[in-house]
Amino acid sequence: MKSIRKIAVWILLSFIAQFSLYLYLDKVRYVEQTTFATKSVEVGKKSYKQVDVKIPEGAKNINVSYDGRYVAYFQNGVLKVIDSFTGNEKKQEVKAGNEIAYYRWLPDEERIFIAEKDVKKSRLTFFSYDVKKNDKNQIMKKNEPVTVALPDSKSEVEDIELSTLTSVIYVKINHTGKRSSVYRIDINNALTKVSTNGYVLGRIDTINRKDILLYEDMFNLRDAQIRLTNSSQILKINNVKGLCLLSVDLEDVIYLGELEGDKVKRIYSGNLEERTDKWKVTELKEPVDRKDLYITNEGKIYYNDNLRGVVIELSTSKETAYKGKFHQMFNNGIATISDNKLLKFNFK
Amino acid sequence: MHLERLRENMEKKGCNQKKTAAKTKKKKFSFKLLMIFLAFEFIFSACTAPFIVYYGPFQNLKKVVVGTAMSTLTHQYIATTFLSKEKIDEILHGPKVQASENDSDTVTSDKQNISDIKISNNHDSSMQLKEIKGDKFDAYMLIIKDPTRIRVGYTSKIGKEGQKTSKIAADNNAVAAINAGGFEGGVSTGTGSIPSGTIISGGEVRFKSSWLKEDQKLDGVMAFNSKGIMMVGKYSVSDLLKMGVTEAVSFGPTLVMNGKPQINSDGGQGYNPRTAIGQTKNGEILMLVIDGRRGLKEGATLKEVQNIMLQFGAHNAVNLDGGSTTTMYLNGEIVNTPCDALGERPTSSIVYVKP
Repeated sequence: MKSIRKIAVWILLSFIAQFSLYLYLDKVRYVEQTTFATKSVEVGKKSYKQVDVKIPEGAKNINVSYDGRYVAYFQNGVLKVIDSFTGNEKKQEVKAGNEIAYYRWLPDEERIFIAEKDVKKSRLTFFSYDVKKNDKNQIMKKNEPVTVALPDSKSEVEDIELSTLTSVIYVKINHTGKRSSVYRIDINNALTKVSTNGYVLGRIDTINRKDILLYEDMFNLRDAQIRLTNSSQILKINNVKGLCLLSVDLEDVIYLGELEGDKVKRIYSGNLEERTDKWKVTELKEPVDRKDLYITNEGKIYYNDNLRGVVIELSTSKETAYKGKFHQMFNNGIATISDNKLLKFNFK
Repeated sequence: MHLERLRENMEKKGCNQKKTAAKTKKKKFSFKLLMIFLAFEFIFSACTAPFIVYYGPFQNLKKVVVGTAMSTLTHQYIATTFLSKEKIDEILHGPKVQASENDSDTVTSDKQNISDIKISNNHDSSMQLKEIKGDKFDAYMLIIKDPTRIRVGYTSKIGKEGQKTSKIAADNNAVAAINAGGFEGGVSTGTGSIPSGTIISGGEVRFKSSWLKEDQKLDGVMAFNSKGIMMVGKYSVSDLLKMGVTEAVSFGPTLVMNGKPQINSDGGQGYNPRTAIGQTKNGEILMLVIDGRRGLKEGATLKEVQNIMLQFGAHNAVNLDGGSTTTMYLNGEIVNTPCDALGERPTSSIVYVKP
């Protein structure tokens, strides 16, 4: 009798709690709103001037947005983002016990994708940061943060690739002993581990229109195999050894480099629908380091001639001269650092 | 309270020894009991919740849960596991009721009175942006005085790939834009490459879905003729061309026609981000975006979109593609906060304002 009574009370409690919650939702929360407060917002075309961006001593991981407007860097564990049009600085603090494991600019938007690491628990959570709105959003699935548990404290995020048209995100994590794994977060924020051929992976990149990941299978260290996640096919060029994955542009043209030593001497480009022997072949006058090569969203190939201080567009041989120490290229120009300042030179 | 007293009474009746024994026993097991209690409450509530929500007296909540679930592609099971298709339809759209109590004949005459709209010929190039604070969303309304500036833009790679609203707008030198028509596979991994319905721009049919039969009427069309009059309602592509329409997309549903609200109950799609367009009697264009899917800011029901349109004096208004596609562009910047993690989502068509 006692236990029956107990259960009856419990059932009653559950009903009381549920009914009061439902009553609140039904009568307060989800009541139709009929009048709305409004406020005028000024409409006007703003004009911007370029401001010098100072890069302090000790700034690390300096990267500019695709259009060159914003500059981001780490300083004392904080991610700072400077608007080169206004000089405004925005800080991204992290929760105590967390550190920013990796960040990357989107290829076509003023937005940063951030992986944060909980140092103690060895796990990653992810954020999308809209720089213009200063709005940071955690990637959540059913109100729970999307979390990747790292097997050990030495595992590091090495790369994040974003397929902006299918809204799929790939996170590459390096473990000890050259092992890597890749995780995929889709548009519904569902997290899956990507099955790759082997676990020694080099560069990764994504196709924008299709949810396909390209990766260098480095099992045979001398000779990378370029593989695709959606098939067992290996991207090969007839009689060419030593291929590397350079880039995929916004038109989904894939760029592969033919290596001579560590440097690229020839570029093959085409899309997955074409046979690779029909791909375009572009010769480089002299072998170029991978980090001195840049392919824009529109598929223009630029390379840096460090000795002469110029960047050359491959197809037209147009040169853009720059001053200072070459730092990186972005979609329409070159970023250099000189006297602790970031300078920008638009491509000619 | 009542139970406590009962127990005390019972304990008083027993001898003292028994009482202390019972007390120590009670203390010893209280933690375990608490866990069992919590587990019971959780499981019991979880099991009974669907029945109370779906079959209980909470009409409003029921509509919200079913509507929000059904407007997604992957979470429809939340509703379909417990309810039949007929029941879902009834919850969402109700037994067929007429739109307005005092105008019972408006439903039968679903033709728009084009002559209601009086457009002045002085081309006023001004725009106004209003921020709207709702209980469950933030929204923006852009008011464009001169309706002849409105055009439909579309992805330059139709069938191959969608483009972001801001990209299509910038390519067309637009001053302002909102996303417009729907696209195939929209909810899951659609990239906006294949539009749904039709796109008419610059007086020509730029796209027609393969499933669209000749003379098949599209629900929720938004169309403009060269005078800047916006038409809403159900039309086939040939109807539109006959009426001299130069710009059109389709999505729907129609929110307001001839000044009369068209949405019964809450609209049956739950709370979501929304995009909508309307026109006032003097021709002004109302472009509306509502953000949502961010914590307690869930978005708006179709009824609330309609209410905003009516508050701003819309004589005709139609709902456009919402959810993570909802975007407003103005002078090179995105005004609202698209809810997708990667920001603005590609779409296949936009409505934009010429300089």
